Amino acid sequence: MTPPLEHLELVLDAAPGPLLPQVRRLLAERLGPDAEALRWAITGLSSASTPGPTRLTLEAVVLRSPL
Amino acid sequence: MSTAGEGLPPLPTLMVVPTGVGCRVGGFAGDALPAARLLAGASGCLITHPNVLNAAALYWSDPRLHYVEGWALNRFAAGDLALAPVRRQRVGLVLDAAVEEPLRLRHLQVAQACGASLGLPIGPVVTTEKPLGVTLARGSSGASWGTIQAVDALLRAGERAVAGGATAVAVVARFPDDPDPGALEAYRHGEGVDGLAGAEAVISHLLSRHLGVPCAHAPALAPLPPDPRVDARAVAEELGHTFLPCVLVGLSRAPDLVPVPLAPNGGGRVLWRADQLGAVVAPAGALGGEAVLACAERGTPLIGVTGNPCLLQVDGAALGLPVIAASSYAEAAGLVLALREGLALETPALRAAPLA
Repeated sequence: MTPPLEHLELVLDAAPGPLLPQVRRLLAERLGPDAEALRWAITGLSSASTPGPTRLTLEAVVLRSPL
Repeated sequence: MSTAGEGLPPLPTLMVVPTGVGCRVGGFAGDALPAARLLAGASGCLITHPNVLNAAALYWSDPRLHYVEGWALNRFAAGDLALAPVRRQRVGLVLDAAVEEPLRLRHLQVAQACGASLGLPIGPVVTTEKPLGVTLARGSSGASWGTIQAVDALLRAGERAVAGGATAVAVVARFPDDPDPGALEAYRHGEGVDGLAGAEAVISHLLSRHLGVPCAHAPALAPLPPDPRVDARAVAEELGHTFLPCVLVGLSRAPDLVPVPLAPNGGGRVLWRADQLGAVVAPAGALGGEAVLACAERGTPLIGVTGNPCLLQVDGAALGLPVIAASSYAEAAGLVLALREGLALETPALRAAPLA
Protein backbone atom coordinates (compact mmCIF):
# COMPACT_ATOMS: atom_id res chain seq x y z
CA MET A 1 0.00 0.00 0.00
CA THR A 2 1.33 3.46 -0.89
CA PRO A 3 2.03 5.46 2.26
CA PRO A 4 -0.24 8.50 2.48
CA LEU A 5 2.67 10.83 3.17
CA GLU A 6 6.20 10.77 1.91
CA HIS A 7 9.25 13.00 1.86
CA LEU A 8 10.79 13.99 -1.47
CA GLU A 9 13.86 15.91 -2.45
CA LEU A 10 13.72 17.73 -5.76
CA VAL A 11 16.16 19.82 -7.74
CA LEU A 12 15.13 23.01 -9.46
CA ASP A 13 17.40 24.60 -12.05
CA ALA A 14 16.01 28.05 -11.53
CA ALA A 15 15.72 30.46 -14.42
CA PRO A 16 15.91 34.19 -13.79
CA GLY A 17 12.65 35.63 -12.52
CA PRO A 18 10.16 34.75 -9.80
CA LEU A 19 10.84 31.41 -8.16
CA LEU A 20 7.41 30.58 -6.84
CA PRO A 21 5.85 29.82 -10.26
CA GLN A 22 8.87 27.70 -11.12
CA VAL A 23 8.57 25.73 -7.88
CA ARG A 24 4.86 25.20 -8.41
CA ARG A 25 5.43 24.03 -11.97
CA LEU A 26 8.14 21.58 -10.85
CA LEU A 27 5.91 20.18 -8.10
CA ALA A 28 2.98 19.76 -10.47
CA GLU A 29 5.17 17.97 -13.02
CA ARG A 30 6.79 15.66 -10.50
CA LEU A 31 3.77 14.86 -8.37
CA GLY A 32 1.03 14.55 -10.94
CA PRO A 33 -2.65 15.24 -10.39
CA ASP A 34 -3.21 12.79 -7.52
CA ALA A 35 -0.67 14.19 -5.10
CA GLU A 36 0.15 17.51 -3.59
CA ALA A 37 2.94 19.02 -1.56
CA LEU A 38 1.56 19.56 1.91
CA ARG A 39 4.71 21.41 2.89
CA TRP A 40 7.82 22.38 0.97
CA ALA A 41 10.81 24.66 1.25
CA ILE A 42 13.98 25.43 -0.63
CA THR A 43 16.59 23.99 1.69
CA GLY A 44 19.81 24.21 -0.28
CA LEU A 45 21.72 25.80 -3.06
CA SER A 46 24.05 23.65 -5.11
CA SER A 47 25.80 25.99 -7.50
CA ALA A 48 25.72 29.57 -6.38
CA SER A 49 29.13 30.44 -7.78
CA THR A 50 29.06 28.50 -11.05
CA PRO A 51 27.76 29.85 -14.35
CA GLY A 52 24.36 28.82 -15.59
CA PRO A 53 21.09 28.34 -13.77
CA THR A 54 21.03 28.34 -10.02
CA ARG A 55 20.42 24.80 -8.83
CA LEU A 56 18.16 24.75 -5.80
CA THR A 57 17.25 21.79 -3.62
CA LEU A 58 13.71 21.50 -2.34
CA GLU A 59 12.38 19.24 0.37
CA ALA A 60 8.68 18.47 0.28
CA VAL A 61 6.23 16.42 2.30
CA VAL A 62 3.84 14.97 -0.22
CA LEU A 63 0.29 13.83 0.38
CA ARG A 64 -0.33 10.96 -2.01
CA SER A 65 -3.68 9.51 -1.12
CA PRO A 66 -6.70 11.30 -2.50
CA LEU A 67 -8.73 12.29 0.54
CA MET B 1 2.83 59.91 27.03
CA SER B 2 2.56 58.11 23.71
CA THR B 3 3.32 54.59 22.57
CA ALA B 4 5.01 53.25 19.45
CA GLY B 5 2.87 53.80 16.38
CA GLU B 6 0.09 55.53 18.35
CA GLY B 7 -2.35 57.24 16.02
CA LEU B 8 -1.02 55.45 12.98
CA PRO B 9 -2.91 52.68 11.27
CA PRO B 10 -1.42 49.24 11.86
CA LEU B 11 1.09 47.90 9.39
CA PRO B 12 0.03 44.25 9.04
CA THR B 13 3.25 42.26 9.27
CA LEU B 14 3.98 38.60 8.76
CA MET B 15 6.57 36.91 10.97
CA VAL B 16 7.89 33.52 9.91
CA VAL B 17 10.33 31.31 11.82
CA PRO B 18 10.46 28.03 9.89
CA THR B 19 9.81 24.95 11.97
CA GLY B 20 12.37 22.21 12.52
CA VAL B 21 15.43 23.89 10.98
CA GLY B 22 17.27 24.78 14.17
CA CYS B 23 16.68 28.53 14.34
CA ARG B 24 18.65 30.06 17.19
CA VAL B 25 15.61 32.18 18.00
CA GLY B 26 12.32 30.31 17.72
CA GLY B 27 13.81 26.86 17.24
CA PHE B 28 12.93 25.75 20.75
CA ALA B 29 9.88 26.25 22.97
CA GLY B 30 8.13 29.46 21.97
CA ASP B 31 11.39 31.31 22.39
CA ALA B 32 10.61 33.72 19.53
CA LEU B 33 7.65 35.01 21.52
CA PRO B 34 9.48 38.07 22.90
CA ALA B 35 10.44 39.00 19.33
CA ALA B 36 6.85 38.52 18.25
CA ARG B 37 5.61 40.75 21.06
CA LEU B 38 8.03 43.47 20.00
CA LEU B 39 7.06 43.18 16.34
CA ALA B 40 3.38 43.27 17.33
CA GLY B 41 4.03 46.50 19.21
CA ALA B 42 5.89 48.01 16.28
CA SER B 43 3.41 46.94 13.63
CA GLY B 44 0.12 47.03 15.53
CA CYS B 45 -0.83 43.78 13.76
CA LEU B 46 1.43 40.74 13.63
CA ILE B 47 0.36 37.56 11.88
CA THR B 48 2.46 34.57 12.82
CA HIS B 49 2.30 30.84 13.31
CA PRO B 50 2.02 28.56 16.35
CA ASN B 51 5.71 27.63 16.33
CA VAL B 52 6.50 31.24 17.21
CA LEU B 53 3.86 31.62 19.91
CA ASN B 54 3.57 28.19 21.55
CA ALA B 55 5.54 27.79 24.75
CA ALA B 56 3.78 24.70 26.15
CA ALA B 57 2.36 25.79 29.51
CA LEU B 58 3.31 29.42 28.79
CA TYR B 59 1.58 31.75 26.36
CA TRP B 60 0.97 35.42 25.75
CA SER B 61 -2.37 36.70 24.61
CA ASP B 62 -2.26 40.06 22.83
CA PRO B 63 -4.96 41.38 20.49
CA ARG B 64 -2.21 42.48 18.08
CA LEU B 65 -0.88 38.91 17.74
CA HIS B 66 -2.74 36.68 15.30
CA TYR B 67 -2.27 32.91 15.44
CA VAL B 68 -2.39 31.25 12.03
CA GLU B 69 -1.28 27.66 11.44
CA GLY B 70 1.45 27.16 8.84
CA TRP B 71 -0.62 25.68 6.00
CA ALA B 72 -3.18 28.45 6.37
CA LEU B 73 -0.37 31.00 6.64
CA ASN B 74 1.04 29.81 3.32
CA ARG B 75 -2.38 30.01 1.68
CA PHE B 76 -2.92 33.47 3.16
CA ALA B 77 0.45 34.65 1.86
CA ALA B 78 -0.32 33.20 -1.56
CA GLY B 79 -3.60 35.12 -1.66
CA ASP B 80 -5.87 32.06 -1.50
CA LEU B 81 -7.24 32.83 1.97
CA ALA B 82 -8.15 35.97 3.83
CA LEU B 83 -8.16 36.21 7.61
CA ALA B 84 -11.15 37.46 9.56
CA PRO B 85 -10.55 38.48 13.18
CA VAL B 86 -13.02 37.01 15.67
CA ARG B 87 -13.97 37.63 19.27
CA ARG B 88 -13.59 33.95 20.11
CA GLN B 89 -13.41 30.45 18.72
CA ARG B 90 -14.91 27.32 20.20
CA VAL B 91 -11.93 24.99 20.28
CA GLY B 92 -12.57 21.30 19.73
CA LEU B 93 -10.00 18.83 21.00
CA VAL B 94 -8.92 15.78 19.02
CA LEU B 95 -7.00 13.21 21.04
CA ASP B 96 -4.96 10.44 19.45
CA ALA B 97 -6.23 7.04 20.56
CA ALA B 98 -2.61 6.18 21.28
CA VAL B 99 -2.48 8.62 24.21
CA GLU B 100 -2.53 6.38 27.23
CA GLU B 101 -3.84 7.01 30.74
CA PRO B 102 -2.84 9.00 32.76
CA LEU B 103 -1.46 11.22 29.98
CA ARG B 104 -4.90 11.40 28.44
CA LEU B 105 -6.37 12.60 31.74
CA ARG B 106 -3.72 15.32 31.95
CA HIS B 107 -4.82 16.64 28.56
CA LEU B 108 -8.48 16.51 29.44
CA GLN B 109 -7.69 18.48 32.58
CA VAL B 110 -5.99 21.19 30.51
CA ALA B 111 -9.22 21.54 28.56
CA GLN B 112 -11.21 21.71 31.81
CA ALA B 113 -8.83 24.27 33.29
CA CYS B 114 -8.91 26.50 30.21
CA GLY B 115 -12.67 26.49 30.53
CA ALA B 116 -12.83 27.07 34.27
CA SER B 117 -9.83 29.37 34.79
CA LEU B 118 -9.65 31.27 31.49
CA GLY B 119 -13.29 31.11 30.43
CA LEU B 120 -12.52 29.60 27.05
CA PRO B 121 -15.20 27.63 25.24
CA ILE B 122 -13.66 24.20 24.70
CA GLY B 123 -15.21 21.17 23.05
CA PRO B 124 -16.21 18.73 21.89
CA VAL B 125 -13.47 16.27 22.80
CA VAL B 126 -13.07 13.57 20.18
CA THR B 127 -10.82 10.52 20.19
CA THR B 128 -9.47 9.14 16.92
CA GLU B 129 -10.81 5.74 15.87
CA LYS B 130 -7.31 4.27 15.91
CA PRO B 131 -3.79 5.31 16.89
CA LEU B 132 -2.36 7.89 14.51
CA GLY B 133 1.04 6.20 14.31
CA VAL B 134 3.43 9.16 14.36
CA THR B 135 6.97 8.60 13.08
CA LEU B 136 9.82 11.12 13.02
CA ALA B 137 12.50 11.64 10.39
CA ARG B 138 15.14 14.06 9.08
CA GLY B 139 15.71 15.31 5.54
CA SER B 140 19.18 15.53 4.04
CA SER B 141 19.36 19.21 5.06
CA GLY B 142 18.88 18.13 8.67
CA ALA B 143 15.37 19.59 8.83
CA SER B 144 12.95 17.49 10.81
CA TRP B 145 9.82 16.04 9.29
CA GLY B 146 7.57 13.12 10.03
CA THR B 147 4.47 11.27 9.10
CA ILE B 148 1.38 9.60 10.48
CA GLN B 149 0.01 6.27 9.35
CA ALA B 150 -3.67 6.93 9.99
CA VAL B 151 -4.32 10.11 8.02
CA ASP B 152 -7.94 9.12 7.54
CA ALA B 153 -8.51 8.67 11.29
CA LEU B 154 -7.12 12.14 11.98
CA LEU B 155 -9.34 13.77 9.38
CA ARG B 156 -12.48 11.91 10.45
CA ALA B 157 -11.91 12.94 14.06
CA GLY B 158 -11.49 16.55 12.97
CA GLU B 159 -14.75 16.34 11.04
CA ARG B 160 -16.52 15.04 14.15
CA ALA B 161 -15.16 17.93 16.20
CA VAL B 162 -16.44 20.49 13.70
CA ALA B 163 -19.79 18.69 13.40
CA GLY B 164 -20.01 18.93 17.19
CA GLY B 165 -19.72 22.70 17.14
CA ALA B 166 -16.00 23.42 17.15
CA THR B 167 -14.91 26.41 15.09
CA ALA B 168 -11.22 25.64 15.64
CA VAL B 169 -9.47 22.35 16.36
CA ALA B 170 -6.57 21.43 18.62
CA VAL B 171 -5.07 18.01 18.06
CA VAL B 172 -2.91 16.02 20.43
CA ALA B 173 -0.93 13.16 18.91
CA ARG B 174 1.15 10.66 20.86
CA PHE B 175 4.75 11.15 19.78
CA PRO B 176 7.52 8.58 20.22
CA ASP B 177 9.42 9.05 23.47
CA ASP B 178 13.10 9.68 22.97
CA PRO B 179 13.60 8.15 19.48
CA ASP B 180 17.03 9.79 19.18
CA PRO B 181 18.49 10.32 22.67
CA GLY B 182 21.52 12.26 21.42
CA ALA B 183 19.43 14.71 19.43
CA LEU B 184 17.00 15.17 22.32
CA GLU B 185 19.81 15.92 24.72
CA ALA B 186 21.29 18.44 22.29
CA TYR B 187 17.90 20.12 21.87
CA ARG B 188 17.31 20.32 25.62
CA HIS B 189 20.72 21.92 25.99
CA GLY B 190 20.16 24.53 23.31
CA GLU B 191 21.75 22.91 20.26
CA GLY B 192 20.45 21.33 17.10
CA VAL B 193 16.98 20.85 15.72
CA ASP B 194 13.58 20.27 17.31
CA GLY B 195 13.06 16.71 16.16
CA LEU B 196 9.29 16.84 16.75
CA ALA B 197 8.52 20.08 14.96
CA GLY B 198 8.45 18.82 11.39
CA ALA B 199 5.96 16.04 12.19
CA GLU B 200 3.84 18.49 14.18
CA ALA B 201 3.65 20.74 11.14
CA VAL B 202 2.56 17.84 8.93
CA ILE B 203 -0.28 16.96 11.32
CA SER B 204 -1.58 20.49 11.66
CA HIS B 205 -1.21 21.14 7.91
CA LEU B 206 -3.29 18.02 7.14
CA LEU B 207 -6.06 19.08 9.46
CA SER B 208 -6.12 22.75 8.40
CA ARG B 209 -6.18 21.80 4.73
CA HIS B 210 -9.05 19.36 5.27
CA LEU B 211 -11.23 21.35 7.66
CA GLY B 212 -10.58 24.95 6.61
CA VAL B 213 -10.71 26.15 10.23
CA PRO B 214 -7.90 27.24 12.56
CA CYS B 215 -5.98 24.21 13.79
CA ALA B 216 -2.86 23.58 15.82
CA HIS B 217 -1.06 20.64 17.36
CA ALA B 218 0.47 19.67 20.68
CA PRO B 219 2.52 16.49 21.09
CA ALA B 220 1.81 14.11 23.96
CA LEU B 221 4.98 12.81 25.55
CA ALA B 222 6.02 11.08 28.72
CA PRO B 223 7.71 13.48 31.14
CA LEU B 224 11.49 13.77 30.99
CA PRO B 225 13.69 13.47 34.06
CA PRO B 226 14.46 16.88 35.58
CA ASP B 227 17.74 18.36 34.39
CA PRO B 228 19.12 21.63 35.78
CA ARG B 229 21.15 22.18 32.59
CA VAL B 230 18.18 22.53 30.23
CA ASP B 231 18.60 25.62 28.07
CA ALA B 232 16.29 28.49 28.99
CA ARG B 233 14.90 28.55 25.45
CA ALA B 234 13.73 24.94 25.75
CA VAL B 235 12.68 24.89 29.37
CA ALA B 236 9.05 25.91 28.80
CA GLU B 237 8.47 22.35 27.63
CA GLU B 238 9.68 20.97 30.95
CA LEU B 239 7.21 22.80 33.18
CA GLY B 240 4.03 20.82 32.96
CA HIS B 241 2.45 17.57 31.95
CA THR B 242 1.33 18.70 28.49
CA PHE B 243 2.10 21.24 25.76
CA LEU B 244 -1.60 21.93 25.25
CA PRO B 245 -2.38 25.18 27.19
CA CYS B 246 -0.70 27.50 24.65
CA VAL B 247 -2.50 25.80 21.78
CA LEU B 248 -5.95 26.21 23.32
CA VAL B 249 -5.25 29.85 24.18
CA GLY B 250 -3.80 30.58 20.74
CA LEU B 251 -6.71 29.01 18.90
CA SER B 252 -9.27 30.69 21.14
CA ARG B 253 -8.88 33.94 19.19
CA ALA B 254 -7.30 32.71 15.97
CA PRO B 255 -8.75 34.47 12.93
CA ASP B 256 -11.23 32.66 10.70
CA LEU B 257 -9.93 31.39 7.37
CA VAL B 258 -11.98 32.81 4.50
CA PRO B 259 -11.47 31.48 0.98
CA VAL B 260 -10.85 34.52 -1.19
CA PRO B 261 -13.04 33.51 -4.16
CA LEU B 262 -16.01 33.13 -1.80
CA ALA B 263 -15.51 36.45 -0.06
CA PRO B 264 -15.56 39.30 -2.54
CA ASN B 265 -16.79 41.66 0.16
CA GLY B 266 -16.38 39.38 3.16
CA GLY B 267 -20.05 39.66 4.05
CA GLY B 268 -19.31 42.88 5.88
CA ARG B 269 -16.57 41.34 8.01
CA VAL B 270 -13.16 42.88 8.50
CA LEU B 271 -10.80 40.89 6.32
CA TRP B 272 -7.04 40.91 6.03
CA ARG B 273 -5.53 39.95 2.72
CA ALA B 274 -1.96 39.29 1.77
CA ASP B 275 -1.80 42.36 -0.44
CA GLN B 276 -2.34 44.46 2.70
CA LEU B 277 0.86 43.20 4.31
CA GLY B 278 3.37 45.94 4.92
CA ALA B 279 6.35 43.75 5.80
CA VAL B 280 7.48 40.17 6.25
CA VAL B 281 10.14 39.25 8.79
CA ALA B 282 12.07 35.97 8.58
CA PRO B 283 15.49 34.55 9.47
CA ALA B 284 17.94 35.74 6.81
CA GLY B 285 19.05 32.20 5.95
CA ALA B 286 15.58 30.64 5.73
CA LEU B 287 13.84 32.59 2.99
CA GLY B 288 12.93 29.62 0.77
CA GLY B 289 9.48 28.84 2.14
CA GLU B 290 6.23 29.43 0.34
CA ALA B 291 4.94 32.28 2.51
CA VAL B 292 8.13 34.34 2.31
CA LEU B 293 8.54 33.80 -1.43
CA ALA B 294 4.93 34.70 -2.13
CA CYS B 295 5.20 37.94 -0.18
CA ALA B 296 8.60 38.90 -1.56
CA GLU B 297 7.57 38.24 -5.13
CA ARG B 298 4.49 40.41 -4.59
CA GLY B 299 6.78 43.25 -3.53
CA THR B 300 6.16 43.19 0.21
CA PRO B 301 9.26 44.51 1.99
CA LEU B 302 11.24 41.52 3.25
CA ILE B 303 13.29 41.94 6.43
CA GLY B 304 15.90 39.20 6.91
CA VAL B 305 17.19 38.77 10.45
CA THR B 306 20.85 37.84 10.26
CA GLY B 307 21.01 37.37 14.01
CA ASN B 308 18.78 34.31 13.79
CA PRO B 309 20.92 31.67 12.04
CA CYS B 310 19.67 28.16 11.35
CA LEU B 311 20.99 25.09 9.59
CA LEU B 312 19.87 26.44 6.18
CA GLN B 313 21.68 29.09 4.17
CA VAL B 314 18.94 30.04 1.76
CA ASP B 315 19.33 33.79 1.76
CA GLY B 316 18.28 36.67 -0.44
CA ALA B 317 21.41 36.47 -2.58
CA ALA B 318 20.79 32.78 -3.27
CA LEU B 319 17.19 33.42 -4.26
CA GLY B 320 17.65 36.74 -6.04
CA LEU B 321 15.38 38.52 -3.58
CA PRO B 322 15.82 42.07 -2.29
CA VAL B 323 16.23 41.81 1.46
CA ILE B 324 16.43 44.49 4.13
CA ALA B 325 18.98 43.16 6.59
CA ALA B 326 18.40 43.41 10.32
CA SER B 327 20.99 42.16 12.75
CA SER B 328 18.40 41.38 15.43
CA TYR B 329 14.66 41.34 16.05
CA ALA B 330 15.05 44.65 17.86
CA GLU B 331 16.43 46.16 14.66
CA ALA B 332 13.73 44.44 12.62
CA ALA B 333 11.09 46.00 14.89
CA GLY B 334 12.67 49.40 14.32
CA LEU B 335 12.46 48.86 10.58
CA VAL B 336 8.82 47.81 10.82
CA LEU B 337 8.04 50.90 12.88
CA ALA B 338 9.86 53.05 10.33
CA LEU B 339 7.77 51.54 7.54
CA ARG B 340 4.64 52.17 9.62
CA GLU B 341 5.73 55.78 10.10
CA GLY B 342 6.30 56.15 6.38
CA LEU B 343 10.01 56.77 6.72
CA ALA B 344 12.45 55.98 3.94
CA LEU B 345 14.65 53.18 5.20
CA GLU B 346 17.63 54.42 3.22
CA THR B 347 17.60 57.69 5.20
CA PRO B 348 21.15 58.08 6.55
CA ALA B 349 19.92 58.66 10.08
CA LEU B 350 18.30 55.22 10.12
CA ARG B 351 21.26 53.40 8.62
CA ALA B 352 24.08 55.07 10.53
CA ALA B 353 27.22 52.99 10.74
CA PRO B 354 28.02 51.69 14.20
CA LEU B 355 30.53 53.63 16.27
CA ALA B 356 34.06 52.33 15.99
